[in-house]
Amino acid sequence: MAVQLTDGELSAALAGDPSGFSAVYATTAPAVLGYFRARGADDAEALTQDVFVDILPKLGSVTGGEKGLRTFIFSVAHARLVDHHRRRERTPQLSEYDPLGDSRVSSSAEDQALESLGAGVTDMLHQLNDEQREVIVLRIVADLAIEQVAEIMGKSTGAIKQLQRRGLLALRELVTAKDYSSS
Amino acid sequence: MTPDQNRETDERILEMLHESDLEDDAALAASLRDLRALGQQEAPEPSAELAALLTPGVSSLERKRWSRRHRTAVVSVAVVGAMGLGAGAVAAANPDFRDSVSKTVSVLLRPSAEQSQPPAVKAPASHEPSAIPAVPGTGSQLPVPAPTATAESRGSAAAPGAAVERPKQLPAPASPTATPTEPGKSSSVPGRIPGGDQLPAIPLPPRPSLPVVLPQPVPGGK
Repeated sequence: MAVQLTDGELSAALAGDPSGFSAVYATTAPAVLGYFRARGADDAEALTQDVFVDILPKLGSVTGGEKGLRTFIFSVAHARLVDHHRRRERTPQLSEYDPLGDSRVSSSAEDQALESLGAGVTDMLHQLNDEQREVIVLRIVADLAIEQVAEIMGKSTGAIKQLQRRGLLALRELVTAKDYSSS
Repeated sequence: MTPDQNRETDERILEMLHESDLEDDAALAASLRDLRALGQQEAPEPSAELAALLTPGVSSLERKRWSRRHRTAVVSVAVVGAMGLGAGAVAAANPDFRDSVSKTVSVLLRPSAEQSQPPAVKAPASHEPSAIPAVPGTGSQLPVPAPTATAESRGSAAAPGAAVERPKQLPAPASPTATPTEPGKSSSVPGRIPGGDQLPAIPLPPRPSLPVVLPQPVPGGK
């Protein structure tokens, strides 16, 4: 379970002292891992470790306290995820053909309704716009404020609010449809 | 999840719902709580590289590897820099060295200065032909420059300008009508009169040689 970062650990980490790195990892790695999992990354644990290998030696240059630290960590995570998706789009996915995993055979409305019964929140998230999904995940999983999300995504706070509102409205429709189909 | 974390989670979710005017939607709030649980799991076991970073007292080998990889380049840059400083110090301390350098520079610059002079000498010659066409430019007064050569030394100066093409016009001149236009140009011409008289004689021989060569291939073709 995630623990809170004390002031001593925070100041040590931001001073570049390795004694504070473990605390930063223990408190922030679960959120980074959840962020990658919510975004559907293939190997979320490896990406999480890559992020911390990248950021820990640079913590001495981070400003803004815990808020600045969290923004910095998720900025790197966001960039890693963008690279990950681009790389995955370029490389062909090689896998053996599994008839049970071929979704093209389940095109009937009945099968789709049955599938939606088992859909979790992450499956519903995948039906959202990519930017809407990013805003919701950064706000909920990474626990960031609108200003931090705007800084990470390079957008204005107004644009982030709009994306968040549209994403939540779309998510509410999906949740309502799921509840309606399950009842 | 601790009660404090539950409370913070609820606060964050309620804040988001309030910002989007959706605070009354309990089903959506429950889904967002499920999503929030994704970020509250255990941290993954650190890899060996990450564990080394997390352990105090373990320094990264990356800097040492970098210095070992670039040692040759660093040493060569240092040697070149030291040699440059030494040469600079010698140049500053030895006046003979400065003199030799200044002489070398002056020698290197001379050829370019000399090359710029010859065109300056030939320039007036090149201007003459341009001045001469100006005379024919007046119209059918081509024979006009020739008469100037017969009149005085100015007339001979006009001949070199048209040296290549108008040697035959020299005997023909008989019209003194162009005399008013020439005086303006005559001042620069007279110095080159003799050279202009000799030039027309040279191009004549090659012309006769051409007709001699032409008849020969004709019998050969037969």
